[in-house]
Amino acid sequence: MEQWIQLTIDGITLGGVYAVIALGYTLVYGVLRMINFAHGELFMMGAFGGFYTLDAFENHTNMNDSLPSLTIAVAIFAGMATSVVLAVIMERLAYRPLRHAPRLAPLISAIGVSILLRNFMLRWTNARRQVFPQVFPRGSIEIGDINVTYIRIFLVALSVLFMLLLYIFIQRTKTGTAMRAVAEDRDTAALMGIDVDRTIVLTFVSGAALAGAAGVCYAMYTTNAAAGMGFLPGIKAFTAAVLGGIGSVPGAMFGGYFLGLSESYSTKLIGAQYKDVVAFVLLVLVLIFRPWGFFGKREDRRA
Amino acid sequence: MQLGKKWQWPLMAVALAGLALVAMACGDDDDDGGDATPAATSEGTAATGGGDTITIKAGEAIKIGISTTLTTDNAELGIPIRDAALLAIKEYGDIEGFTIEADPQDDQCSGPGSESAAEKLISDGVVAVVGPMCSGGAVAALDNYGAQNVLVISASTTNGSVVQQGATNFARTAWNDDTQGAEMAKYVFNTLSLTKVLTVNDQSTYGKGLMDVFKAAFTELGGTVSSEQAVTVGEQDFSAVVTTITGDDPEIVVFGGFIAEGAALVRQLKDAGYSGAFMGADGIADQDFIDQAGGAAEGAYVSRGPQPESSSYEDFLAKYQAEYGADAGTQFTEHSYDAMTIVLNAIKQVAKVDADGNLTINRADLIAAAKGTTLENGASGTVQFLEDGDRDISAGAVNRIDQVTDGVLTQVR
Repeated sequence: MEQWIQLTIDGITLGGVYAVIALGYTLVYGVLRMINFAHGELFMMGAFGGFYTLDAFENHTNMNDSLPSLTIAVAIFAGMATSVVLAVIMERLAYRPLRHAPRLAPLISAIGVSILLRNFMLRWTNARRQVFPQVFPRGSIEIGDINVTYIRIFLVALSVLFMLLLYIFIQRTKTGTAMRAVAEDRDTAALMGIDVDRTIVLTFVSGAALAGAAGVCYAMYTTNAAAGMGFLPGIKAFTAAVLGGIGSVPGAMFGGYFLGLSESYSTKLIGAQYKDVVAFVLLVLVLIFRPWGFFGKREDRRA
Repeated sequence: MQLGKKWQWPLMAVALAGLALVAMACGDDDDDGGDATPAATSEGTAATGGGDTITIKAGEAIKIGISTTLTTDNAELGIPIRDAALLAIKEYGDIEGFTIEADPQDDQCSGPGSESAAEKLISDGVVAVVGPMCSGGAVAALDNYGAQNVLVISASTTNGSVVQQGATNFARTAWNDDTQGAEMAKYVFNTLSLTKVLTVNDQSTYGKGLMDVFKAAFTELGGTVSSEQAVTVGEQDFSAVVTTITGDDPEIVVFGGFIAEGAALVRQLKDAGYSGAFMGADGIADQDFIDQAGGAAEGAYVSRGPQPESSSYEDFLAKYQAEYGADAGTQFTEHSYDAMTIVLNAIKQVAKVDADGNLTINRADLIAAAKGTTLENGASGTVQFLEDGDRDISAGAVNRIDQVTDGVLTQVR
C-alpha cells in the first residue's frame, strides 16, 4: 500500500513539471494555432541558466552555504530570464515571418529551432552533464515507509504556485484577457484595438517563464543539467497538453498530472524501463480516438 | 499541382508523422547498446588501400587510429585512454624511418558513434586501431573494421560477447567481464557476507552483460538477487527505480553502468533515505563518479580489473604523471598503453620497405603478428591473447576492489 502512495507522490511531482511545461504549449497553440516544438529546449536552457548561476555562486562566493534560499531564488529567476529572452528571439526570427505561411511552415521552423538549440548546447557542454552543486537541503520527511524528499515538496509547491499565478494572470488581468481574445479570434481582436503582435510575444514570455522555472527546479531535483534533457519532457508535456485539450489551460494542467500519475503507476505495473512508452502510447491513442482532448472543443476543419 | 481538399489532411498527417520520426531519431543523443546497424562500408575506396596490403609512401607517416570517447559523459574514462596511447607512440620513436602519427576519433561510447569513428579511420588510411572504448560500440563497429581487415586492439571493451563475434582481426588487452562479474559476486557473498542483492543495469551491452554474469555467479554461491532493475543511459530522474529499491530494501545495490547514471542513482538513493551498501564496477571507477555524487558515494565499493603486478606498471604511472601532470588513475590507461605498444611492435615486425622506399604492411601478417605476441612486462602485466582475441588472464588473478573513503577511491583488496 505504501508503495502506491509513494508512487502517487512521485506522479504528482512529475505531473506538476509536465503541467507547467504543457501550459506553455497550450498557450502558444491558443494564440498562434501552432505547436512550439522548441518549447522543450526552453525548459532545458532555463535549467542551464540556473546551473551557471548556481555554479558562479559556488565558485566565487560561499552564498550557496550561507544563503541557499537566496541563491536558489536567483537561480530560478535567471532560468526564467534565459528562457524568456530565447523565446522572444525565437518568436521574432522563427515564427513571426511565417505567420501567414501554410500551417506546416512554422512547425518545421520550430523543429529546426529545437534541433539548433539542443545541438548548440551539446557542443557547448561537450555532451557532458553539468552536475549541480548541492544547494537545496538534503533530507526528507518520513511517514512510516513513505519518504518524501524536501526538493520534491518544493517542486510540487512551486508547480502549483506557478499554475495558480498563470491562471489569475489569464483570467483577471487585461493582458490575459487580450491573450484569450487573440486566441479566440485574432482579426476581431485586432479590430478591437488589441496589439496582436505584443500579445503574442507576451504569450511566449509567459509560457517560457514557466518552462524556465520548471527547468531549474527539475534539474536541481535530478541533480544535473544535460543538453538533451528537454527533449523527452518536451514531448511528454506536449502529450499532456494534447490529452487535456490543446488550447485549453485547465486541460494542460489536467493532462500534466494525468500523464505524471500514469507514468508513475506504470513503473510498478509494467516495469521502470517502459516508463517512456506510456507517454507515447497515450499520445497515439488520444490522437486517434479523441484528438481534441478531454477539455478541448471539437474543432471542425476550416477551408 | 493543386491538391484536392480530400488529400491535404492525410498528407499533412503523414508529413507530421515523418517529421516527428526524424526529430525523435535525431533527438536520441545518448544512444548506447549493441544496435548493430552498420553504415555503408567503403569497398576498398580507402585512401592508401584497404584489403590486403597497406602502403605508406616515402615521406608520409604511419597512421594509427585511436577510437575512444572524447565527448559525452564518459569522456572522463575515454580521454586518458587516448593519452596513454599517445604516450606509447611518443616513446616508441619511428619505424624504419617512418614517423608514427596518431589519429584519435571520438566514438561517443555508442554503436553509431563507434561506426562513424571506424569509417573515418578507415578512410584516413590507418594501419591499425586502438579502441573502441565501449563494448556496445565494438559489437557494432567490428563489422566495419573487419570488412577492411584492419587490426583492432581494444583496451577497454570488457563484455564477453565482443570476442564471440568471430572477428579475426580483433584482440583486447582488457579483461573479460565474465571474470569480473564472478569476482564481484564472490566479494559480496564471501567478504561482505551479504546475501540479498538488487542489481541495476543501464541496458548497455557492458552494463547488462556484467549484471547477468553477476546474477548467475551470485545465485550459484547461494545468494539471492531479489530484483533486477534497469535505467536508461541519459536518463536523469530515477525516482521509479529508487522507489522500488527503497521498497525492496536490499542489503546492497549492485550497479552495472557508467559514471553519469551511477552518480545520479547513488545521489537520489541517498536522498530517498536508502541506507544499504552500493557497488559498481570499472564503468564508475573514477574520481568523477565521487565528485558527481556530491558526497553520496561515500562507502561505495568499486570493482576494477586485476591490479598489475609488474614493475612496469609503476614505471608507466610515473611516465604518465611526468607527461601529463595527472594521475593515470582511470581504469584502462595501462591497457591502452600496452595495446598501442603491441600494435607498434607488430608493425615493426611485419613492415617491409620496398625498392621505392615505400613501406608495405600486409594486413593479415600484421594481425597474426599482433595476436601472436607475448608482451612481457607490459604496463598492465604480461599480455598474451587467446585464439578468440580475449586476453589470457593468469589463473587466480583477483580483481581489485576499491572503496570510496573520505571522497577518494581507496584499495581494499
